[in-house]
Amino acid sequence: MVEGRRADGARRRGVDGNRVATSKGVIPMSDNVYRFSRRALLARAAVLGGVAAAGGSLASPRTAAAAAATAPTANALLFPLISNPTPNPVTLPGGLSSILLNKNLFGQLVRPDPHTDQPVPDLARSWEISKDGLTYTFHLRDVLFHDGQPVTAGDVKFTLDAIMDKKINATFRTNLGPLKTTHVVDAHTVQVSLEEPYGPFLTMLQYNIMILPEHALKGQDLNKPTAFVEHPIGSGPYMWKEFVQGDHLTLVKFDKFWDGAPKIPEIVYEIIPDVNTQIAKLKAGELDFVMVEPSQIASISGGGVQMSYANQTNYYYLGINDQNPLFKDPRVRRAMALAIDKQQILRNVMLGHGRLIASPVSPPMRWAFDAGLEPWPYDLNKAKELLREAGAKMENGVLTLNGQPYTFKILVDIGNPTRKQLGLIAQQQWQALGMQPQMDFEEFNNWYDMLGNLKFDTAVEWWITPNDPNALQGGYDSQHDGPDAQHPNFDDPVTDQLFAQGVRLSTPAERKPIYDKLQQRLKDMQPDVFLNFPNEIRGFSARVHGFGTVGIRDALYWTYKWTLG
Amino acid sequence: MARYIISRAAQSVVLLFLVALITFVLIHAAPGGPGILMNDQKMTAAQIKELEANLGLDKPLYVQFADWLAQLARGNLGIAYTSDLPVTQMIAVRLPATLLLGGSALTLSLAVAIPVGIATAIRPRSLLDNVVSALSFVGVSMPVFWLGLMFIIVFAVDLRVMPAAGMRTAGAALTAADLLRHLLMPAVVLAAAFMAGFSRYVRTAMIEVLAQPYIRTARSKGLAARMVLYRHALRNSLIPLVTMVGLALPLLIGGAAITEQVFAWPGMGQLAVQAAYAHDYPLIMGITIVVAAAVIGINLLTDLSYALIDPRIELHAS
Repeated sequence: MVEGRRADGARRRGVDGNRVATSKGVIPMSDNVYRFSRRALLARAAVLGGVAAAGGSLASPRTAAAAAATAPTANALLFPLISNPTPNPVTLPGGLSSILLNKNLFGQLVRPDPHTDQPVPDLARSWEISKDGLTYTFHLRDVLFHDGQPVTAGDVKFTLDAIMDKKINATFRTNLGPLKTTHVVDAHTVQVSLEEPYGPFLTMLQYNIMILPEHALKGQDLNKPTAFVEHPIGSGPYMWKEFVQGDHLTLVKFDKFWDGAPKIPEIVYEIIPDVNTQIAKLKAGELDFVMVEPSQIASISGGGVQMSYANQTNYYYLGINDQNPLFKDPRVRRAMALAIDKQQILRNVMLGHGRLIASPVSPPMRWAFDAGLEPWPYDLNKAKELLREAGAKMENGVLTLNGQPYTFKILVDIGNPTRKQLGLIAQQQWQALGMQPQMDFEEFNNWYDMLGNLKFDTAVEWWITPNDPNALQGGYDSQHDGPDAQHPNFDDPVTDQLFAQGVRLSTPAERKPIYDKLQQRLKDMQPDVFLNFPNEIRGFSARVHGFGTVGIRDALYWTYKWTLG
Repeated sequence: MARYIISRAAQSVVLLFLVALITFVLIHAAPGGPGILMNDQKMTAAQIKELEANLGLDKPLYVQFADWLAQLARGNLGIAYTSDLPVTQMIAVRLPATLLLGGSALTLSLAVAIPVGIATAIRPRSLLDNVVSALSFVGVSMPVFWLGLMFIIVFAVDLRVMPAAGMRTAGAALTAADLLRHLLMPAVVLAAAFMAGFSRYVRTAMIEVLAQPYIRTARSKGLAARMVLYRHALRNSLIPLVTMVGLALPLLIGGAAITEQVFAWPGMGQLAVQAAYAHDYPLIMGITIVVAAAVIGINLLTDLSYALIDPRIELHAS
C-alpha cells in the first residue's frame, strides 16, 4: 500500500493533523513576564486555536527553576504517537503509529539513505540484478535477531512468502508487484524472481518491508499473531522492553546491532492522541518531537525547540472527478489550474515551506523529478480563453457547459487548518471564472468514502507515496477501479502506456526519459490541479541531534545514530 | 426485594442484547470500514474481496452477529483489528485508569458540591449564593477540552509546576506520588463539570426540603440547627443527587473521552474513540457491551440505594 491515505487518516488526526486547531494558531505575545491577569487569560483564550496558541514567548521567570521538576530523562528519546502501535509489519494494524515504531525494531533488506532517500544496504550487504531485470540476488550480513538467533535467507523467504500469501492481509503486497518466488540459495544468499522486470523493486523493498524471524512466528496466524506482538523480536537497533497500552512503549538499545550499538539508550513512545497536547508537552520539555501544520509553526518555535523542514514524498492537489461531464475536457481542468494562484498558496498557506510542482512527481523522487517543468502560471485571461474554446459560456451569471452550470462542491475533511484554507482559496479563485463552487466539509471516514466511491466533484487531497514515480500509477492509470481514494477516474491511454513502459525498465537512467514524458503529459492533462509539494514540518527539542532532512518515516531508520545533549 | 432484583436482571439481558444489536447495525452502516481503511491504492476490487474474506466480513451480517454472540457466550470478545490483541485484555488494561480518573473526579466534585450546595441553600440570594451561581454557570458551560488545554498551558507550559499530560513521567518508574501529580489536573477538570451541576441540585433540593412542615416541627421541638440540617434535611435532599450521580457514572466507566484525549490519559474513552476511528469492529463491540453491562448494573444499584436513603420508597418487581 501507499502510506498516504490509510496512514494519514490517522496522521491527520494526530501526528500532524489537528482536529481542534483553527487556522489562526499564532499569538503575537511580546511581553515576557507572564501575569496571571484576567485580561491575559482572556486574550489567550481568544486565540486558543489549540495549545498551538500557547506558544513561544510565554516563558515565565519561574520557568527555569521549575523546569527541573519535569525535565525528561537524559537517556531516553521521547517520541509521540497518536494511537497504540502494533509490531506486526506484515498486516500493519495500527497504521502510521505502527510504522513509526517498526522502523526501530526490525531490519530490512535495504533501507532509505538519511539524506538522499535512495536504497542503501541494511540486512543485505550487497545485491546483484540479472541482465533481464528478473532476478535479484541478495547477500546477507552476519546479523542477529534480538533473541540471539541469526538472520538467515530462510527468514527473508518466510517474510516475502507471507507478504505474497493471499490468506494474509499484507499491507504492502501490491508494492512488491510481480514478485514470483523467493529461493534460499544458502544461509546468507537469497534469490528473488519476478514475473516481469520491475524498476521500482528496490525502492519498494525499502518501504516498510521488514524481515521477520521465522522461528518466532511459525505456526502463528500472521493476521493476528497475538503472542508475537506481545514480545516482538526483530533485528533492528532497538529491542522491545515494555508496553503499557494507551500510555507508553519503551524500547531499549540492542548492543549487538550490526552497525554498532545505538547512542541513545532508550526510546519511549508516548501515546498522546491530541496534537495540541503533544505541542504542550514539547514546550514543557516532556517530549522531543512533534509534527505540525504550517499555521502552528509560530507557536511552537523558539524556547528550546528547533524547527526542521523535511522532504517527504507528498503533494497537495485539488482532486477532480474527471468523469463528471463538467470536467471531462482537459482544457477545462487546465483552466481551473490557471485560475489558482499557486504561488500565493505556497507563500500564505504553506508559509513558504514547500515547492510548486507541475505534476504529481515531487522533488523527493530525485532522479525522476523534472525540475525544469514549469507549473501552469496564474493567468485568468488564458484560463477564460481555454474555457471559451471548450465551449463554456456565461448564462444567467454562471459559467455553463452544454446547459449544465458549473455549480459543484469542494469536498474537504473536517479539522485540518491547512486543507480548510486550500479549499476556501480554491472556492474563491474558481469564482473568478464564473464557476459557483460550494464548500462541503465532511468527517474523515465519510470524506474518504465519498472520494473512493466517486461521490464528489472536486476535493482537497494529499498523497504520501514511496519515492518512486510508479507509485502514482494507482492514481492516474485507468486500470484501478476499486474503492480507491486516489482515483480521479482519469482515463488516458497515453498515460497508461507511459506507466507501463517505465515500470518495466530497471535503471533510473533508462526510466528517466519515460517519466519526463509522463510529467509533461500529466501537466497538460491536469487530471487534478497540482498545487505544491509541502515540507514535513517538525519541531525537535533542542537536545536532539542527527535527525537529517528526510521525512520522519525514513529518518526513524537511523535513530541509532541520533544523540541527545 | 429478591424478586425485584431477579426481574431486573432478566430485563438487563434483553437490554444488553438490544444494545449489542443496535451497535452492530450502526457500525456496519457507517461509511468506510476496516476493508477500505486497509485498502491500498493499487488493490483491485478482487483483492479487496480477498481481504474482506480473511476478516470474515464477506459473510452476511446476521451470520457475523451470530458468530459474535457465540463468542461472547464463551466470554471471548475476539481479537482487535488494530492491535492483534484480545479485546478483553485491552479493556482490562484501560479500565483501572478510567476508574481512577472518574472516581477521583466524582469524589472531588461531591466533596465540593455538597457543602457548597448546603451553604447556598441556607442563605439563598446571599452574596455567596450569587457568586456560586455565577461560577456554576461558567462551570457548566465551559467546554472540557478548552478548560483542559488552559490548565495545561498555565500550569505545565508556563509555570511548569505540573506535568502536561499522561499518567507518569516518561522514562521514570511509576510511583504513587508521580501518579497523583499526573492525576490532579485531569481530575480537577473533569470534576469541574460535575461540580457545578451537583451543587445546584443539592441547593435546590435542600431549599425545598427546608420549607417542609416537618423541618418547622423539628425546629420548634428545639433541635439544634445543625441537627435539623444534617439529620433531617440533608438526607432527604440527597435523592436528586443520587439520581444525578447515577447518570454520571456511565461516563466514568465508559471514560470521559474528551478529558482522556486532552490529557493523554490511557482510559476507556480514548480507546473507544480510537476504535471508532479505525473501524475496529471487535473492539467497538467489546467496549460497548462492557460499558453497557456496567451501566445497567449501576442503574440497578442506584435504584436499590433509593430505598436505603428514603424509607418511603419501596421496590416491586413490575
